[in-house]
Amino acid sequence: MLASVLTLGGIGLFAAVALGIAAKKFAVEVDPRELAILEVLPGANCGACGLPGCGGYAKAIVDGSMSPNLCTPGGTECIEKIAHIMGVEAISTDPQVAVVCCQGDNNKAGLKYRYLGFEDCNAAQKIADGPKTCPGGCLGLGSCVRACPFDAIEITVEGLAVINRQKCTGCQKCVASCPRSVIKMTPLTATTHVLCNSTDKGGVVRKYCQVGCIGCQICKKAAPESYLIENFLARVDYETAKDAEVAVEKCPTKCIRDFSTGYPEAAVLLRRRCRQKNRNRRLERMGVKAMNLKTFKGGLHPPDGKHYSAAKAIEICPLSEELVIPLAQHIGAPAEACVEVGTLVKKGTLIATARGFVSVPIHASTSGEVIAIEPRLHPMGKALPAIVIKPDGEDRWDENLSGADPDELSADDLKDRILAAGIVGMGGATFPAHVKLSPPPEKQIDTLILNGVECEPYLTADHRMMLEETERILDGIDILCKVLGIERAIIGIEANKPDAIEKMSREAAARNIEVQALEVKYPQGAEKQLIDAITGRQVPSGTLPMEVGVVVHNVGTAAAISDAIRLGRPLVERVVSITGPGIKNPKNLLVRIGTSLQFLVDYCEGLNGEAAKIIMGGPMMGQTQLSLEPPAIRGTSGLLIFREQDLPRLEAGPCIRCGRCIGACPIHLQPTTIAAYARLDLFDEAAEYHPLDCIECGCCTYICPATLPLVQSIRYAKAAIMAKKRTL
Amino acid sequence: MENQLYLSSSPHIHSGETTDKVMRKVIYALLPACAVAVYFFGLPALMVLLLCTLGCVAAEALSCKLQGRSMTLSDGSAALTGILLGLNLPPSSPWWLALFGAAIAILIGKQVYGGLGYNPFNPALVARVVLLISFPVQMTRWTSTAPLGSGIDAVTTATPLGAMKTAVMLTGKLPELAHSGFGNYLVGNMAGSLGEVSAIALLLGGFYLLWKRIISWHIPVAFIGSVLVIGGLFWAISPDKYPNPLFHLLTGGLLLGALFMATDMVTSPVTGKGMLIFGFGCGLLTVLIRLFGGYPEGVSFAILLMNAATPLIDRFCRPKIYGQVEVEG
Repeated sequence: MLASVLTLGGIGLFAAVALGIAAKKFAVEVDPRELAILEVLPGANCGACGLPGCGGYAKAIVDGSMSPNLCTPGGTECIEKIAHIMGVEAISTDPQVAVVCCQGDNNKAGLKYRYLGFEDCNAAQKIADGPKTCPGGCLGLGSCVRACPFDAIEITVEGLAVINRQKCTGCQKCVASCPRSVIKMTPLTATTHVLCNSTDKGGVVRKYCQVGCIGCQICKKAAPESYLIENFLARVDYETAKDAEVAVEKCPTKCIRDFSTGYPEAAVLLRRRCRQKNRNRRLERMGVKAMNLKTFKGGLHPPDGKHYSAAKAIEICPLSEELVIPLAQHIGAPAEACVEVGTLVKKGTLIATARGFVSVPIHASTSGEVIAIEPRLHPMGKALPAIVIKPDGEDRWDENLSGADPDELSADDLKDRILAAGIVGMGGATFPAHVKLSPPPEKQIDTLILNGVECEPYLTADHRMMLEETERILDGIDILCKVLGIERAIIGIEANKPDAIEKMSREAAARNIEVQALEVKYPQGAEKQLIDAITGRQVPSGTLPMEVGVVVHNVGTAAAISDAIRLGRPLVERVVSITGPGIKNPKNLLVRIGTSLQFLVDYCEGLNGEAAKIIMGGPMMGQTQLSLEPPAIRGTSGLLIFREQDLPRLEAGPCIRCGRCIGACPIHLQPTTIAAYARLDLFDEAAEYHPLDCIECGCCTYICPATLPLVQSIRYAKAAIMAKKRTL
Repeated sequence: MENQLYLSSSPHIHSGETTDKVMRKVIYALLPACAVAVYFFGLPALMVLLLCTLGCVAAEALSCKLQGRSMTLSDGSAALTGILLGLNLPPSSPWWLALFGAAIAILIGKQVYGGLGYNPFNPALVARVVLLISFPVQMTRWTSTAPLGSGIDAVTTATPLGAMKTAVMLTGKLPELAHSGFGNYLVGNMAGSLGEVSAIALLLGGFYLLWKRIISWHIPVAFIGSVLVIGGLFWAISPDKYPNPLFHLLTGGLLLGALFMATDMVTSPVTGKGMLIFGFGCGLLTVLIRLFGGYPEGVSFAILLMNAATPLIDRFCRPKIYGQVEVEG
């Protein structure tokens, strides 16, 4: 008994003495003023001063590297106290408060589409510049709510960010988080603000918003010193403002509000309840019920949906009234227009020249007159420069185009002709073909792989090409082999196209080109996966296939190259599968570049019911469209229409750590881990899991039982990491 | 005025396999074991199962309400936890034990961590272990089987593992039941927790889950395999003192644990390699506890200990990423 008491007591005593000595000996000298300042600072670690934490700021004040008046959250009182500690005079800053310059909630402002996916403004902004029609309006998906360290922002039931002026400390975190810069910093003393952020003309604003500023100048007339009008948008000039509130009543759209008299109506709601209600309302408004059309078996064999159009022979799509040919149709720099409004062109006439090495020229898809060169709605979801041609109906080829016998041309001549014809990868990625054919001399290319996999569900354009244009494809392969100076070419085709395998094998036999049948498995047609499947080589992370001696081209590209050389015809048309349950009569069409999607749908006898999703490309990687107005471009492999009942159900739940996304990822990433970090904006942590290697095939999202938008979160992380890399 | 089209990031189709469907399939897989339990232990078994399930569902609803979260009952995870807990209790459990266990499982085992997906430990096992430590008398009062309609009265008896432990401690030798009666163990005609008695019913459910790809083979194979190999080693060293591996396999909660508890996705590693390590750890700990520990049965402790190791295993078993290769030449 006594022994144990003594032992324990002894150990305790020894430890205490040792700690005491250590504390004295290794004590770190801290300036007492630093501690005093730290005591005064609010301790929110918000970063408003420009440093990551209050500790760092306190230190910076003491060593004189920073001024004591930078802590906006602390306000005047805090600044005075710091000044007192430092023994200097307080230089007060005007306290600032954030204001959301938008009143266009879901009842008052129009949407250009219904957004599905990752609930984050920055992520939504990447899809056709955000769902709100107004380019400056609040998206209401809460990026600012997450950024605010003071819990001062709420999203109202109707989807609008509202700032609690009592809680806001002016730290500006929300300003940085908003992709549309709709949150502005204003002096706390100013209570009258223009709550609009749209710089569109009045008539345009009226079309999409009931409460937008139309630039009518009435406020400026009522209080000339208080208002400035720039770009059809009034704003309060806080420096000189005087009696700004007199304009509140006069504003015809009620976009000027005086906060001292009880705005916002939606004041402060219990956030949790609000967010919940908000989501339910939004889903309800979108007409979403528990939809789950199909039950698929596990694994990575999405139902291929190819039956809609696989048996339909390629038809030539007739000429439409107008062709809209965008200048950006390929990866790399957009082409530069070399014609003017009024120029008469023939089919194949050069209308835009390549800008730089990774770029290609663009040609007229029919004969006619250039009637406009202006921004038009692009499949990317925004208006981008395009050349508009009014066809003369004769569809005559340019006489200056002439073909040649590839056997009489050198490899360099062939490459020049391929560039001049504007050939890009026809699988959908639209990478300029000549770039792939120009490996640096130290890279030995030994294998050409032709991609006839077409693993995207629904699409059948390549399948039909292989059946109907076998000869052109094989001729193109011969030309490609000659350009690369190699003997070995392998065509990879998935086993679900036995007819194509049979036909290609038979015709290729005479030419010493191999056909390799592949297991049906998405995403087998992704370049790196295809190389792995056929050659067993892995393309090192961050490099191109030429690193392992392989060049991959789509079968459609090979056919286009054959035309470019033998007939001298540039790339002005392509095969597009117009398909999906939303199309009355699905078809494979040979389409002139620039034909509007609406025209294609009409030619396929129109929609089969009401379209809920218009997808350019396949269902796994395709891009949703704002309308049927955009044209088919060089990368348009398919046009897929889904109706409401064909869409999967959406409500995301928590990750149950089932690991399916890891098993499904062809790059063997951990999608759920990356996505979890991305949702928290922890990009450095996310970067450790190699998101930049993601090929965005969509397998993880497809398989996720919690229906989390994994790829979208990864894309979001990728963009943030790339942006960070660029600024370093 | 508003556009009725949806825009979203790709992909635009989904496999259709959602969390609630996964949970439902696991529940289907447990039905044979439930049926056998009710057959051998009669109405008290049905009572225990129902009380646990209703208790868990009620606790989940209550906690969603209190936390102001949306109702998560439809994902089926609470009902599944309830059934698993029921299968982990003795047939003679009093009603309050079942309800208390259900509350522990959902409130302490799951919701305090943030609900489905965030709990580090298998909720049903947390409850079982809490009950085992708090109410050892009720939790180890086993009854013999009394098949429905047979007219036999259930009498208090020991589980095969319990009887073995007692005999080894008293005599240093294995009792007779460690060498015979395997046919009864196979169908479930022995004393034990509701769900652990019938090897056949459990295997049936396990194969269903494997066939539907709800679980992968890694954890069950590593878990059962390591018990057989390690148990077999001891048996080979001293067949008088240590039971043969088949006895390990068929008695106690090994199959229930390996097929349904250790494979819980939330609390097990996400990669195949990690699952193998996890399964091996479970197997090793189970054998050690059974042969050398104070408790006759070690499956629940083994799984909980390995649950704690899961984040560490995940950290060291990241998949090898495509393209992380040396450049040739």
